[in-house]
Amino acid sequence: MELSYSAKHNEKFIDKFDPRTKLTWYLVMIYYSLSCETALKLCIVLLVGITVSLVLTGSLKQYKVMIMTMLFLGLQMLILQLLFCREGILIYQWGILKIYSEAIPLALTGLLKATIIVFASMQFFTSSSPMDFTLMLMKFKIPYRFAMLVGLSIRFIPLMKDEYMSIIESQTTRGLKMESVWDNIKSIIPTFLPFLYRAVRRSTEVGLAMELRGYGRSKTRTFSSDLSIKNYDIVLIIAMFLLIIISFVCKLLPLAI
Amino acid sequence: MEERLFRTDTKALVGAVILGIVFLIMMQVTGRIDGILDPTLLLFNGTCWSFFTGLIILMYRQPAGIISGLLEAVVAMATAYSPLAFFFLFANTIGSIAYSLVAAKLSMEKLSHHILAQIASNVTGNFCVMLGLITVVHLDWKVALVTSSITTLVATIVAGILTKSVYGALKKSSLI
Repeated sequence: MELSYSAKHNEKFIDKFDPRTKLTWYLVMIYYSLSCETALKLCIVLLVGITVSLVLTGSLKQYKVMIMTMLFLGLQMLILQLLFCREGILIYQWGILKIYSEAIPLALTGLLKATIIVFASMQFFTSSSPMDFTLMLMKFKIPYRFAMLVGLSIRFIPLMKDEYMSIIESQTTRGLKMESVWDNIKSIIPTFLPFLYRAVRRSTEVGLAMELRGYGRSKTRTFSSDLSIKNYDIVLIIAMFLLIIISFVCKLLPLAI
Repeated sequence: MEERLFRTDTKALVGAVILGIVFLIMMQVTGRIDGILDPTLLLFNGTCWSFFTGLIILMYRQPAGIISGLLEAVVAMATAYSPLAFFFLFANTIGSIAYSLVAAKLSMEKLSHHILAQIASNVTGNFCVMLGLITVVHLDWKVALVTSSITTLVATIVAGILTKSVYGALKKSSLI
């Protein structure tokens, strides 16, 4: 679960862009993933996304974790379509199980759509530092007390994950089995309840500590850095929104005629 | 009414983030189990979602419910944990608001109150997930409707009971 923005990113071309430009790019990718209906179009969108990532960051290493997950999801989608798809012609029947010709193309387009969404999300959420996201939210007029929570959550994810792992280890040493799926189901309650109670206690302590340090006392707050949108960012944002609008209008136009 | 809907003190905001992380960890654990046992029904995941949505709102109200829901959805998208993760953004937000609106009207002392709030949250949330099943997974709308209805039914009952007992235990332990 690599969410944190590493210092290595500082040298990359992608850092020249404002987080708002990256957000607009993310919206473009999501729009096309949901609006394209054929595997070819979706492949083109995915290829464009990969190329942009390669050009801007110089590496696709961060997406390696995605491959196994997407293969597993693809297998799930294929099974679902084989079981439930009723489009196309019947190509195989065994008892109540009927396999139709459209099952595989539908599974493929579903997988491509999911891959584009996941890829675009990873691209966006790993492209900027938590501070940039905080500043971006503040530019959207969100009060700093809420915007600052982005950094807090990034800080706490590994801590809470470690806490959960330590609870699992403690319960395992007390004799809790964690070998099969059934064991994992049975272990949810004995591992989850102590985790929940610890989390509530921790949130009370952290909240109190933050309040004692004056968090939220004044309405404004200063930051060591600021976001200033450049001309090329504005041009890119306008171009991307125009692309979405033109594509949307072109989709609606046949209906209007 | 406003007091029963909103709470914006630091403890509530920090609690939203920390319980949001617990929420997302548990969703990932139950999601993996569902991936093996029931990829379309998502019974464990749905129950876990309903339980946390309810518990966080009861403890910290709004905007804590929305914050933790968005946190869970964003991490789900960034970690490729579900093809429907994008729809979780809407499911978590709308489901959380629906729960708050019902919980603000009721005393939340009886099991029936928890079940009612869970119905509101689950119907709206699972509707968003159903749209995801139709749009992304390309499931037939009838199949998507049946799977979402089963998840709603199971999650409403189980999460309603769980929320009441855990919230009661947390109140007794004076942690909230």
